[in-house]
Amino acid sequence: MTSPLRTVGALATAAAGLSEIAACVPDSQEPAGLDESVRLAIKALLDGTGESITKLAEAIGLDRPKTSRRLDGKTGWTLSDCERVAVHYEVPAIALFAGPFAAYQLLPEARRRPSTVSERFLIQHYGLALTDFVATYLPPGFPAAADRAAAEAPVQPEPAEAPPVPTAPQAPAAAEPAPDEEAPARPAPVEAAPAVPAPTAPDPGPGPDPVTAPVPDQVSVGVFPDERYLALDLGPDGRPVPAEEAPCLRCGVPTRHRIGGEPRHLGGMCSPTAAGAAAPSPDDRPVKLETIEPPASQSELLGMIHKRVDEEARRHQGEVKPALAALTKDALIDATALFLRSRVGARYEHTAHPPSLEILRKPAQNKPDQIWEARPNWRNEALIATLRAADRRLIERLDINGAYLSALKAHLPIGQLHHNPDGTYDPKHAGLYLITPPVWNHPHLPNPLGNRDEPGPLWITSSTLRLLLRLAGPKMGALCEKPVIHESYTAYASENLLEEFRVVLGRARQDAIDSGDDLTLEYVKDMYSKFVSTMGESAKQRKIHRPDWMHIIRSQAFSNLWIKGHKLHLAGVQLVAMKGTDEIHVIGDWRSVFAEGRKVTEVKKKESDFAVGGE
Amino acid sequence: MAITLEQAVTGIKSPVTTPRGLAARLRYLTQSDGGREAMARAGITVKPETVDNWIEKKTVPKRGNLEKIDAAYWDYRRRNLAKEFKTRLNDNGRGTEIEIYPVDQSQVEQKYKRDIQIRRKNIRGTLWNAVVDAWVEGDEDALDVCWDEVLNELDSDYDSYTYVTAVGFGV
Repeated sequence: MTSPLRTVGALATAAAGLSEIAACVPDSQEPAGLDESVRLAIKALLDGTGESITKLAEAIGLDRPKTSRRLDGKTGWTLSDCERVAVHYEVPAIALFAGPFAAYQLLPEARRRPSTVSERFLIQHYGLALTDFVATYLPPGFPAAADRAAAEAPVQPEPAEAPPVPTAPQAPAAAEPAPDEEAPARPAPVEAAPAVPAPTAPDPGPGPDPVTAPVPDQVSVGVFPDERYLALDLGPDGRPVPAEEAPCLRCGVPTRHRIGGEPRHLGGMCSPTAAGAAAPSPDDRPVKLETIEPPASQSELLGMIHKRVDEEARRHQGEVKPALAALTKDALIDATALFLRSRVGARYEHTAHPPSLEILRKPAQNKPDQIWEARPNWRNEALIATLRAADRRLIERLDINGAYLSALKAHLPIGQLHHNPDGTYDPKHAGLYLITPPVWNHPHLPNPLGNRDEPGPLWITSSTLRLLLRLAGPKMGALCEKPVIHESYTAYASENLLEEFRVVLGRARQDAIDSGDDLTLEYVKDMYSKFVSTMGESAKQRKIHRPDWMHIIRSQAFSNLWIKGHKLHLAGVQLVAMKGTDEIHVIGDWRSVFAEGRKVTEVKKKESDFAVGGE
Repeated sequence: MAITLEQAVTGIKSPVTTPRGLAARLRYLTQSDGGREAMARAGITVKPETVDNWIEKKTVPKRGNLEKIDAAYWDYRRRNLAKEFKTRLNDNGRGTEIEIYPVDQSQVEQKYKRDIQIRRKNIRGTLWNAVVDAWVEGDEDALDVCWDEVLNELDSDYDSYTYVTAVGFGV
């Protein structure tokens, strides 16, 4: 048995289509042109048979988009189209000109789709046929609201299955406003619902943003939450108890019906107006302007993160483990959505799928490409040898917070990388460089190029190159020679491509730490780490394919770690080891250089220290 | 577009000359009618019992047949992937955006160089279906027809994109 909620939902949608059709019947108040009558006739046939647009398109030899445009009235139906439609539906071609009802009536019985949402239900419960139901119970303005709801929520719990009503004479009544002088006349079908919002739908302030500010009290006809479904007061004969006309408590439009003794329209079917005021007159209706998606504010982006966390927390009733599992599953999709949203209105439009370069191609899925990311894996062997011989000393293991998060601030090439056969270096560009590494003669500092066993030229990213050039400069005391560049693949770069994304994730991370919200913290961590690791080559990430960015971000993290190690070294702290993305082992007073804490600017101490020496 | 689609094809990694790779291919090909059709298309004309013997490892296919099995496997794999690609590229009616990278002008004399921009264009389902079908069949003419459709939708300066370096999209 179809539930009452669903039945009414389906009816609502049927009624929405019905009203559009009814509005154009020749004897209605505002007759429409022949074009419109043909269009609606074909719509009625389509709906009446329950066929898909694709099927119709195939039958008449047009493609689907063209057929859609014709059905929406954006393009006209040609006479030969009409002929083919008529042949397809087995109706006389002339019927199309007579409008939807005539066309539907001439449709062979065998072609009509079975009516599964039953009029029987209505007759049982209200003693009314569908047309009477629409005419009697639906408040004026309701079909327009239904149109909108249908547009906003295309996935109905159950598709509209009630066919257009075959009884033509009663149908115009469906479009007529209920007996009420103040209710606005139905707009001409040409400028139907999409252009003009529902007359009774409130519009809070100018420019409602569909993303940021959903109208909270707007009744979505397609949804029908239980509390809004209220049955009318029925008499012993099963028909509504007639009463004096009085303004509906919800929308203010007069109604003869009562719910629980109060004058109200059938539950949820009218839109509430402020303080139950009467519907605005047609001239006062706000014009819905086409909106361009505005750039996202930081709070909107933060909201995207918190919304997901709240959703999952609620769904799992505050249990952290399953909520985290659900969040982890979606972290990449959410991160990508966040990134793309953060780029709306930005200055540069990056390219997401540039042609792949030979040096970035992986020879096999688990083999690396030719780029050297300069990952440090260094132990200060000279120091360790002397320590072994000396007294027992404690080595502290430091952990850099959010290393990959901070590395999102890197110079990233915006467009496709272009080959540059000479050794020029342009600081405004970023990308990949083939260099001969400089000699490194500092035993107490790690080589900024990491542990490279192979001699000779190697491909590095602009992050590593920038570090090398910085070290070769006078400010750092010319720690090494400038590397020799042989060739490069670069593009004009910006440091701000991921900036908004980074700042928002950083804030969400810090807020989560401050409030002890482990769920958000883990989710944020997952978002940025997965985003970075899949942006190169992954079946999971289809929105962005930039292996160059991935390498640059990673080597930026290693370069940041090197700079931190160097800072400690300058302050007299002895570096024992530097490994991975975020680990430095030291002896000495590191707290004079970095504060201890969990901020990205601070350093965290790992639980276990270890001792060396005194053997 | 065909190149990008080709790069998205994944499948059995072990070569057909290894027992593992052969067994996996035969399993893939013999578990459906489509697979058997693919074998027929590739020109494998042996008796069904022979195929059974291959599966049960009683006999090993001849070199020529091995190559045909490999060809049949990739052909069938592409056809199956094509369905998935169509769904993904159609993306519930949203379509997928392509990035069109203009022709490489690095060898062109400076005075003849033209400033051609990277273009982005959203492509919808019907066209994607045609592209994927043309790719599966290896039909270059059909692909050219599809590309003309894309150019048609580019509106301005479409002529500059008759030849391009690459077309990027996520599949």
